[in-house]
Amino acid sequence: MNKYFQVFKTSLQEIFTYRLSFLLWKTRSVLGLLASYFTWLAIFQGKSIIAGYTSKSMFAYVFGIYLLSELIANSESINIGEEISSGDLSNYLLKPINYFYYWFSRDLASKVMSAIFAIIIIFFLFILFKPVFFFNQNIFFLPFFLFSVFFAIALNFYLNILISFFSFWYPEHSGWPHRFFLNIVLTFLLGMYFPLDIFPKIISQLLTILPTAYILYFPLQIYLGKISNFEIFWRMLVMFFWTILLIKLSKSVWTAGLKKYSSEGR
Amino acid sequence: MNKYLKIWLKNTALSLQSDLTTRGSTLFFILGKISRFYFFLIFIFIILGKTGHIMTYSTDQVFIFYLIFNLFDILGQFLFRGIYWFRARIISGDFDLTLTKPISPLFLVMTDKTDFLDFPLLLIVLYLLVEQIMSYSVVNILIFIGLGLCGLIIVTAIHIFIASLGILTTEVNNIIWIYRDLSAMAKFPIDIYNLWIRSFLIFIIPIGIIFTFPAKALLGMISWQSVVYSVILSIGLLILSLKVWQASLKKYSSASS
Repeated sequence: MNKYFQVFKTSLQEIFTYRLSFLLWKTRSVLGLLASYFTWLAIFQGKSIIAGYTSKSMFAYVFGIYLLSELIANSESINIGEEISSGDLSNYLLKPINYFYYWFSRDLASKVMSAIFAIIIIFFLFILFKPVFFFNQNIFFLPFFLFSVFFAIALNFYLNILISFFSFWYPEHSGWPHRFFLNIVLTFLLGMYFPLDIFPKIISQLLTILPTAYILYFPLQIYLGKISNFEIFWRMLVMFFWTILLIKLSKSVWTAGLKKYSSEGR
Repeated sequence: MNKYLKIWLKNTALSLQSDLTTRGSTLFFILGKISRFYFFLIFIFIILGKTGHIMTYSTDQVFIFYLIFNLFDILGQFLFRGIYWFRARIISGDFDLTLTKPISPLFLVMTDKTDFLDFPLLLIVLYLLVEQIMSYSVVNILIFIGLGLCGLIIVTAIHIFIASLGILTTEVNNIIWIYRDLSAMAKFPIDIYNLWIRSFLIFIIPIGIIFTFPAKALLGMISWQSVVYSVILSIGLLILSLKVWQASLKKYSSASS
């Protein structure tokens, strides 16, 4: 356990070493947040409710998506594909280290720093723009929300590494082409453009069955109080099922991938 | 001039060959770009289907803004993709080789690669735009083309500034991506932002002039002062960027080679 804590610490140090790069990179998501906030502000001009969302709940969704995507969807493990393609993976295979735990530790360091940065940004944006947004005062939601965030982090991690493991079979361009394509699809399916329940009911129901709906959208639905206690309960079960399935699947793909791996480029 | 055209055509042919060599990857990239375009379009039509308009803009007008944003965004990438590899040239010392060639190093840096991965989406956007444009007056279309050229000149100037920054600081990648994200703020007309952000997007980093002004010209919503401002600013920025580039070249230390 201690060695993974060391990985976590050195990953934090690495972020502090390349401070400017980190800040510039994070500025990008702030620009996205600004664009999203002002777009919804314009959309809600003269409207009190759109697709079941008041302006307050939509702004909570916009800021919530920003914060949770930094905490949950932000991931260092997207670089795994590059390591597989370049043959750098061999360095880890020779060491007494669990590759999954190693990258999870790196991911956590990145998430901690990104979430702290996001909270600071939200604080400043609140001072600057004073957005009025929904604040859930029902304490009952909190344990479910935290529980869903915890599982969403695991779900996102295993989904991400599964995508990266595709590089075992398709190492071209450091594994970025399929990552690029899937990132765009994921951005949509995660609900980062807009809440998934804005779609017509049948499409929305289909989209919310997918594991991607449980990474950002589901925790935010709990926060916004848009789903009943019973629905929270059964969706938690679905989320748990997806997490277990992705863990099992990623381990099987890892084992199969290692048989295919030839350390090309070394 | 003929020499530059030949080099551009040669580089473009090589870029295409390179993309065709890795056909699977090319397909993923193209699918990704087209998906991104349509996903946002779905967002626009679903939202506008429920509200009918954003501020004073109707669905058709918002669609025009989105198409024109995509047109100039894609053209910037299609023509100047080479800038994305400039940092690697600087830190590896390969830029020395570029400097020794009997041709403008700026031209070589900017046009090193023509991005054919954007080409299918460019065709889709052009098709949709031409369909929409037909319903506007010839005068509006001519002003749109004129302001579009101004926009492209500003895009060129911004890429030259970024290349200059690359020489001075070796920082290119993050800056170019910040520019791309700033550009993305113009998917909708920049009127949606508050006064401070709007002023920033017109006077500091003129994203609004690149993307929103041509669209407004087509829709007949632009003042003559804005047209004059666009023309003066685009020429001014191009001249300034070339001067900054020359100044930055003098600071190049060839440290890595």
